[in-house]
Amino acid sequence: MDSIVECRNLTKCFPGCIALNSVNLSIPKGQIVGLLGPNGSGKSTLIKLMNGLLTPTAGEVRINGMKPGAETKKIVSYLPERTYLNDWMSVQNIIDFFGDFYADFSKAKAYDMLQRLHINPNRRIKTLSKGTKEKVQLILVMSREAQLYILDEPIGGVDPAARDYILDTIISNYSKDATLLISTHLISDIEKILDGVIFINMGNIVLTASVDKIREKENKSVDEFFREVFRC
Amino acid sequence: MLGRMMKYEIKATQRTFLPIYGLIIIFALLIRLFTQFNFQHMNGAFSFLMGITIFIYVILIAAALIMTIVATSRRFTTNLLGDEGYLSFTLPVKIHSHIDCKMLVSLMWAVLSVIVTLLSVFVLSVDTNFINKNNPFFAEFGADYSRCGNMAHLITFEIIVLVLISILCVILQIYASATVGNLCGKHRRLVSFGTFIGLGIAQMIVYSFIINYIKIKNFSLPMGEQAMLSAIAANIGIAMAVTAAFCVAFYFLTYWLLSRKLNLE
Repeated sequence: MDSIVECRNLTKCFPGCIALNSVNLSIPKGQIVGLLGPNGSGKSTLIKLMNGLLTPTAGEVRINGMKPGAETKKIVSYLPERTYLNDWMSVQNIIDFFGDFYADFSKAKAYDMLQRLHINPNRRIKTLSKGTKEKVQLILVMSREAQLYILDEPIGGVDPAARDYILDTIISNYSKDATLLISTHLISDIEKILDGVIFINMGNIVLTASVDKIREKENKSVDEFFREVFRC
Repeated sequence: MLGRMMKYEIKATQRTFLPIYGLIIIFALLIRLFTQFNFQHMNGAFSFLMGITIFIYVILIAAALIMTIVATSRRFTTNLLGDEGYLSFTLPVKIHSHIDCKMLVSLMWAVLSVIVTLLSVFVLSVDTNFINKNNPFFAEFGADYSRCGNMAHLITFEIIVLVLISILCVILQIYASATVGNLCGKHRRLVSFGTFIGLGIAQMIVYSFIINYIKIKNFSLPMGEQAMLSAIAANIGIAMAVTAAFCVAFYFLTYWLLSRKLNLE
């Protein structure tokens, strides 16, 4: 099976700690994969390396066979775990901005999602609550026809009532032949949509498996299996 | 793509500069209006108002120049090295486009700040009487300029280019310093400031070396007018070349660090 992400001996060190320890990983195309691990396990570091926001200490990561750069950014739609919106813009401005820079961005899709989430496009970003900003970011990311969606904690900052809606938004808006990599520790909320999982802990890949295999072999849900593997 | 990036960069920064430019021109016009009255007939309140207006005008001029430097540094650090960098660096554009965009827009505001300041001074001081009164000055200046011929054009051109390159050099020095500071986990601002000072000292040392060992050889007084003009043109040319070399060095240091050592928090 073709891979969209390939990591070879990928290592990232920060002063005083090894965030990723010689990771070898292959993520196949066309799947929804959960990147699961406790806090500080290296999930965000791995994701940032895939997006070229960090430079590897050793090894390499390739996206569709290419090193992270302008070409990979055309095919990757990334939702970071923090708010990156320019405060001076209105929601409409940021939609125009994405439309100007990403050839695969659909403004119609974005406005449709805004309407369904009752977000006024004329509002200034700085007047939005943190949760609404996160929803706007998710709308921007999911309005692209990307080959790889990387979502870092997409439901971490929203209330439980909105989580199902957001997961539905993700599922109903991503391109069907695309790959979706979702990082989270709220496993029970996303388990139902996953095809495969990657368990990561202390910078090491502990397990890569399909959700069906975990259920068959372990006779447990992914959430239960995760709690067993990472029991403190 | 660079054009689109510049469009948003100008939109992001114009909110800072345009109000200041507008206020500078308004206050210059106000001062001009006050000076139309005869000063001897001014009462205390009027003089106070005039004084306040002049004070605010001077503060605005200073603010425009300081804001140019502050905005240059702030836009680079927040939009590329801060949280907004998560969006900027995931746009499908090359690293050098980010630097080019910020550099050109900062240069544009710096030049506009100088133009608006000169324009306000023009509004304050120049009227038909002034031009008539100073006719001999302009006539003398024009005659001198014509006598120098092409050399005057060359020196004027060189001075304009040198000013532009010097502004670029400061902008790129700020970018290089901020990027070096970003390599440090802690005390980023302190390291950036220290790097800025360090790069400034390095430039001073190079300029001193060149002044002492190269430029001085060109002057051997007494010398004729044309020889003097040629020496001035040659030395401005050397200054241009050295400043341009620093620009290139700072640009590539910034580019190398952003493309090979980027580590967003």
